[in-house]
Amino acid sequence: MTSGQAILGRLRKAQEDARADAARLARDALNAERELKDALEEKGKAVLDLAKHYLPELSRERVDATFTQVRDELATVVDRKERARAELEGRRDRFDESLRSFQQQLDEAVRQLDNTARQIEAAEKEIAHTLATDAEFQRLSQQALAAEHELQQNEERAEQIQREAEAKLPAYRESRLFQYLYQRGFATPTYQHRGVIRGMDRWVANLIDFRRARQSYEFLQKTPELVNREITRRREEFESLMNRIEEIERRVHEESPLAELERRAAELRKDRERLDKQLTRETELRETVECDLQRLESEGRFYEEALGRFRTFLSDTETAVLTQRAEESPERVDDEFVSRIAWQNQRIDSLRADVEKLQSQTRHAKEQSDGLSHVVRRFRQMEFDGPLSHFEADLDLDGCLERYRNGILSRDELLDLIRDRRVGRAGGEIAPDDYVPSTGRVLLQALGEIAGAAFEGSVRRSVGRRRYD
Amino acid sequence: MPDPPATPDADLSIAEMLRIMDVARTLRREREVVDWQLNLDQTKQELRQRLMGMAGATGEPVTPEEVEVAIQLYYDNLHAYQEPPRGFALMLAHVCIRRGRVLFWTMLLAAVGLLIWWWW
Repeated sequence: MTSGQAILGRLRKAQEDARADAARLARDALNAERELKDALEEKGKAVLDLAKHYLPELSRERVDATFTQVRDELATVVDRKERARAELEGRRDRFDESLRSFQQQLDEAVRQLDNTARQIEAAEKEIAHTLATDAEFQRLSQQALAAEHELQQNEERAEQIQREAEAKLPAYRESRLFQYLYQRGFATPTYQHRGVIRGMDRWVANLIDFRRARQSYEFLQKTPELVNREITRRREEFESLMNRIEEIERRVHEESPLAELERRAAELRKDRERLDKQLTRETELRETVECDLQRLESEGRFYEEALGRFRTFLSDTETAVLTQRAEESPERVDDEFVSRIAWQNQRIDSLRADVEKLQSQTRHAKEQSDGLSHVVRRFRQMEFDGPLSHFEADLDLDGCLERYRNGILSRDELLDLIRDRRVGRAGGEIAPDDYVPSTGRVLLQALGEIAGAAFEGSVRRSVGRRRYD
Repeated sequence: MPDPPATPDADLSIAEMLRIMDVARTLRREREVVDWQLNLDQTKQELRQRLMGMAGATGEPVTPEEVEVAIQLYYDNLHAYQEPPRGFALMLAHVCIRRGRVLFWTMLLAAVGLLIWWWW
């Protein structure tokens, strides 16, 4: 007789072996998939090289030299490229025409502006001559110049006086003796004291030379304001003088054609600026079109599209056709590309079969592993691993497992074979707390099948709550 | 109803005329001060010439630069206030101007002294 524990151990060993087999097969399948991906990339590179060899540039001659099957498709791309180029060249020509027109207008505006500038210069000379011969203007100008010079000196002197007052006044304000006498109004008609106090004040005044200090203090306090007031008055006189001078100048200006010429020059300047801006904008637009044209040729948007289509065609074409074409051509380079493609095709076919086979084996191994997990779980649920559970000695578990692995037995059939060879009672059947009658055991088994191991305890308790007579 | 303000007429009193003259005199002095201050460079120039002339007449060997420095020094110190040097007179002057406070503290100390003497 074999104990339930021993049977469970062998079942677990078989389960772990199946799981390890499934993992190993999954790894092999992944490696094969990687190799297949590499082979596909290598083939893609070889096809691209071949496509570039047959179509090094997008021209009608090169397209005509390619395969008949793809020629029309590539010719469509060439047509579109030529249409795009013609459109861009047309836009560029229109911009050239527009630029010529703007340049002519700008030249004309500059010529007129030069003429007007010369006329303005002549008118200004005439005005200057008129003013130079005007006696009053001359007299007032000289007066204004002298007044301005004097005003400048006066303003500088006023700043000096202000600085001097700011530097010297604090000493008077901080002197207690001086401030005492000054606030009492000593040596002024407001001073009222007599007798001893007057005598003491007179003595203090003599000590600090108060009369001179008072004069200086008042001078420093009042002079900056007086000087500023005088400068303001002189500035107003100067402004008045300048107004009279400007009035004479304005009158002479109004009598001359200078104002009209300046107005015209301003208009011409505006025209020139407008034309200049337009010319700059049109030049930029033309440069954009030129760049688009260069990009059309250099970047090869259409070439990339044609190459992509050609590549797709070559990928889908039979290797035999490619080999035949390569043999027809005198160069050896395309033979090399085609042989690379052929080799990669063989490799891809082989790897693809391997991948499919390995994936199938992986699925099978996974199913076996899951099935054995189920058997182990059910074995434990039915408490075949209990201390009183034994199995007949003639149970050929290895043979059963081998038949299960070969697909001859299903997991339930394997479990039935094991159950049939059981002798004695399962641990759960003799446990007083968990005792369940035969009807209950059937239900327990059915619920256990549905709920699985995770809810084994719940199932047992649910059936235990019922009373089976 | 209050009387309207008196309108000035030609019959001004002597005091009023003197007051008006005072105002006019003040304005004239202010104008002279302003002119003098704004033409200080000219004043300095005249002073420089007079000093050099005086030095030439007395045979004093001073250079124009020395005269210039002396004039500048004079104008820098003009209107500057400076207290008398420290000493007994200055201290006494400060006591004089604080006589009220000094008298108060003296009287207080004397009263305290008298009280102490009386209790003793």
